[in-house]
Amino acid sequence: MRHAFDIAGTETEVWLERARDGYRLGGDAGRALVALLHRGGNTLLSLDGGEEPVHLVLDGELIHLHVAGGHYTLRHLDPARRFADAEAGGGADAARAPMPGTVVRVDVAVGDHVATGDPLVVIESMKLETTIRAWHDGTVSAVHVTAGQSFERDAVLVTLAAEA
Amino acid sequence: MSALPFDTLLVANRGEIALRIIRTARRMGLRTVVAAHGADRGAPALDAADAVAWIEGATGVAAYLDSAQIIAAARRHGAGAIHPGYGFLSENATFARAVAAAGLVFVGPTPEAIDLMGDKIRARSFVADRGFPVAPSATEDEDPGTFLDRARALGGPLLVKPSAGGGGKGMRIVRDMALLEQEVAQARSEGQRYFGDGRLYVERFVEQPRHIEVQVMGDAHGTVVHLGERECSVQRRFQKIVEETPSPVLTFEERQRICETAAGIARAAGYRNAGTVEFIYGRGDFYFLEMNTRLQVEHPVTEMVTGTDLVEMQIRVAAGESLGVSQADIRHEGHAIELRVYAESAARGFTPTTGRVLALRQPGGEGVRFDQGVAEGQRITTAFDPMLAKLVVHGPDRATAIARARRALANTVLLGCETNIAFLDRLLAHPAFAAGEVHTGWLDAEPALAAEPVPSAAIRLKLAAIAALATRAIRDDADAVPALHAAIGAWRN
Amino acid sequence: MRRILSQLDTRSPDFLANMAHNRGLVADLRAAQQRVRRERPQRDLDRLARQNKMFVRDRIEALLDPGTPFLELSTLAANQAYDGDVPGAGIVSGIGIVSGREVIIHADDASVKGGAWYPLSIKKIVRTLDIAIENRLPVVHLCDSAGGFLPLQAELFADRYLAGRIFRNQATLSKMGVPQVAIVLGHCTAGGAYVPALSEYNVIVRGTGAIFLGGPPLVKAATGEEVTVDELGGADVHTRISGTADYPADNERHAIAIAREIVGTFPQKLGARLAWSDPEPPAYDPAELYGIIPKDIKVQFDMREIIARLVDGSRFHEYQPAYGTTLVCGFAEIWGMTVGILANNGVLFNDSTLKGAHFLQLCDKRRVPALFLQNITGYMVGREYEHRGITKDGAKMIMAVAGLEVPKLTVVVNGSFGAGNYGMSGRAFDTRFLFIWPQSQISVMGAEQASNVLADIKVRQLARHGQNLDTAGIAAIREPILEEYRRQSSAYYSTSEIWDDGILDPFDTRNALAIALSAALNAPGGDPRYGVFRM
Repeated sequence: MRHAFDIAGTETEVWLERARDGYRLGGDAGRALVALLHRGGNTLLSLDGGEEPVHLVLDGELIHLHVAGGHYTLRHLDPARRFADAEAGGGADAARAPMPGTVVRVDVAVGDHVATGDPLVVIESMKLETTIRAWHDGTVSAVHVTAGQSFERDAVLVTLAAEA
Repeated sequence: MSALPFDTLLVANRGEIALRIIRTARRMGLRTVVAAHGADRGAPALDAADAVAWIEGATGVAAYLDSAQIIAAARRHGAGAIHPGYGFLSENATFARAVAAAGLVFVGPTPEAIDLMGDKIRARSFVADRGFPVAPSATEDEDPGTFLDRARALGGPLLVKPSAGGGGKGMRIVRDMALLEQEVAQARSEGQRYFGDGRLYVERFVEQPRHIEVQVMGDAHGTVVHLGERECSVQRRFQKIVEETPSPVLTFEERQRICETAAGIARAAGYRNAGTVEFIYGRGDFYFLEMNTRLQVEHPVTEMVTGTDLVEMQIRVAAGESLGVSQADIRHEGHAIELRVYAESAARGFTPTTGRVLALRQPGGEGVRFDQGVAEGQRITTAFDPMLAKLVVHGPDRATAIARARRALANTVLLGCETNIAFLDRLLAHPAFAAGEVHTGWLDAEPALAAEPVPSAAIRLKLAAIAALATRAIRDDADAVPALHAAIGAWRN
Repeated sequence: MRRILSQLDTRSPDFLANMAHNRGLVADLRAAQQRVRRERPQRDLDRLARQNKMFVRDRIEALLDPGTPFLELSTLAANQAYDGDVPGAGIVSGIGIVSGREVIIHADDASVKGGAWYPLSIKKIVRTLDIAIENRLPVVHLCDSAGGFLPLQAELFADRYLAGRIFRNQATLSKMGVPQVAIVLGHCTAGGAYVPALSEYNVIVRGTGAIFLGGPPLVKAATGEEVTVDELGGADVHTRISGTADYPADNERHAIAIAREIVGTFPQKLGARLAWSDPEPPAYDPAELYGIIPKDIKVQFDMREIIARLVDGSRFHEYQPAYGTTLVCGFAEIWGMTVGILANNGVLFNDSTLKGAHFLQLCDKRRVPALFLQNITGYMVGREYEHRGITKDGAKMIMAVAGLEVPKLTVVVNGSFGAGNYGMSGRAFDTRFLFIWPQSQISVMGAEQASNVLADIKVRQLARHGQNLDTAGIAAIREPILEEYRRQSSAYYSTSEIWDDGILDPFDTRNALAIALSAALNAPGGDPRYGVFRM
């Protein structure tokens, strides 16, 4: 299964194949012989022999780029995550307690927008503090515990809704 | 030219105008201090100024409205003059008085002129009394009881405006007289909310009106000149987006009349420093709308066709110098267009966007001027209005100016925050704009322009190629394939 | 290396007739493969759709790196068994590239009898894993099987190389340090449960994947316990509680993406990221192979013409060109990889046999893989040759073949008869890959000869009981024997029984050999050593 990009709202599968000079692009957007060239501080896209200047900046999962007089922002969709269900059965979008313990602190409220890695809840167990962090961008849809509360193993702590 | 009575100028503004003022001040040999708020860390004006005076407030806007703080900052940095830019305190007579009281020079008109023209109703009366054309209107003040009847008597359609308003805020068009009463009530409550003043006046609304304004400049010695008109009819909900000079619709004779009317008004008001007289134009007629007693956002188009530096003129006039030019000395050459680059999403109702300027490349080329308001690395927040820069383009004629503007837009790179650049290009490409057939209601009646077109297959291919090549994981996947199998390719037996 | 100069007249009537005939055979082959690969009863495809399952070939395409080749093995296994009802023996296997790594894939085809394992299915899986062991290839299992086909259990269960060998091979691979990934896309029941359990990594699809030694009906029958598939051995049970499965997946595409990630962590072949170098195709058109192969198996042709259309630039360094001329030996390159080629140009005599044994030792010493191109009716018989020691010389050649440390690859280009098969590295001699051409024949002796012998025996037997046959009567005995013999010595029969790793379109042989060679070189072999050569 391959990488994909969200291009103007359409999930577009893409891949590269090794070629003698550069790569061959494959996937939903079409096929072409492509390469990114760096000349005198400028970046150029070579596509089937034609060259044109490109500006691009990587920003986490986003790629901001300027080409052919227009600005575009693409989101990278990792192959393993693309096909995972956002609301998988089995409560995959909830953080469960790995072992019994107590809640030290709740860092978010329902409705908060979070980015991957943002701290959600801090728990303590066996004299060890663990910070439960957001596993993807999204909104906090439910907080099931409060500070000071005790919980059992597998108890649901926080539920996230997927990125809109 | 005598030496200026001050050696340091405090710029009480931000974004592109702060940088633009600093550049001229620097060229004139002045030391510059810029009043800056923490939300603007990384802004280009901060680097360009000789010193930064940090200001604080409950909000960023509140900081720039804090008259005492700003004057204190000027004092602290030894600034002998304060340039207020546009917006904020630029048309605040109290501030202008306070600056003078502090022994500092206010780079702008007299407090009296600000007072006069700041009150829209008073300004209108002043202008009408001296025989300059105004739109038939009814003000509430004259007789609140008969206000609605007098309004109705004007005949529709009508434009309801808050008397303390400006910049297009709080205005509403009423075509159906049956709705007049409720529209008036709503306009009143809005006026109260936005400007702290619920008074209204009503004017006959010119259908498909064009917004024509004239740049005037006066000195302390009674000389007033005009520097030509600007057409600012491309507006979205009364907010200007594209301005140009000369107006494509005016005849030579009309231009003369409007400009001389503007100069006459300014002269009658004893106007000093830079100002702009705004008119509504429709089918050969024009009416005084209001006068803005400050430097305007779109002043660069005037500078480009007249070869002048209005900020320099402002500073010199404020320093007491005489203008040194007569009307005959003002020349006009070619055509100039200004495009306002905003951090907003045209496709999503022009909502403000945020982000960080990850890359910025200014366009170059003949006749291109880019007044940048942000620098690479700077965060774009909703603390202030979303204007990022102004692209101003000059050409020997309108068509060339448009072509250069489109090319400059295509060459402008701003990554990390969504902007209205694509929307501006679609606007310029529209046949109505190309034909100069615009009016203040035109853009609002073209909602399709806001829609982002779906990228063509050719563009998608380029985007996919760039994205794939830029993503390390995708390149690694390709590089991992052994050379033999990559050479054989997708073969099946 | 010198280019082979072709002596072919590509406009001769023989050439053109061969061309037409062989193209026809290849067309038949492709049609047969297409049917076996794609044609299924609609109800089986509907059932897959209802179960939310992808067709096995779509799974494989999703697994493989784009723009890379896939060498499918034994496509036509079981084509002459089980009334032709079990296409490919219900298994798809082949060598491909996943996340840049060479792997061998074993995929159960659930659209064939629910993925049930027939005796030939077992044989095909065991063969796949034998290839993995011999060539040190990581394995990806796509598990979706209903289990062993009970009515034929006697042919698939108890013996040494039957079902148990699958799991023994899996354990051996792990012991060797060759990784396996299993993707559980359906039920893995009873023995089948061991496939994921013995794989170092496995992925299980929530909802459709399950692993259990006994399914719910068996459990109910055995202990009375009532339990659902998911509760017994579903994804959550095995990834959260029992630890039998490693990665839960939400759907098949997710599972395959995870498997690709896993394979991406395996060590990469040294020199895999070598700089690009352009391959040099043969100087002669490989399509001309169709014109070289004669319609009649008795007709001789020069193997050099075949070699010239397989190797890079048609360049071949012939060894001992004047000695033992019925065995052509020499070095060439295929897609840049050096091989030592042994090819038959007639019957093996003393000198050609000795040359073969000698040349094989050269290959071994130089660490060059050996490629055998078989077109052999056997060793020369007769008094002169026996006195000169043809039996002894044949033994020496077999000793060299069997003892060879470098990888061996074999292509049955035309005939493969009797002891010639042995000396030319037939199946029994651990050749890493054995391919066969559509018109090839393989048997202990030629069909004509054999049917004559068998008919003769039958006729005499009848005569002893007083029945004397005339010509027509003899023909009536002989014809069916000849027919059956021909059928059982055909390439299709061989591939059905998995005596080979697939029938190749001759045109495809170059690519197939390149992929096979590259795979084989993962296990280049140890230092040369042999048993005793009877001198």
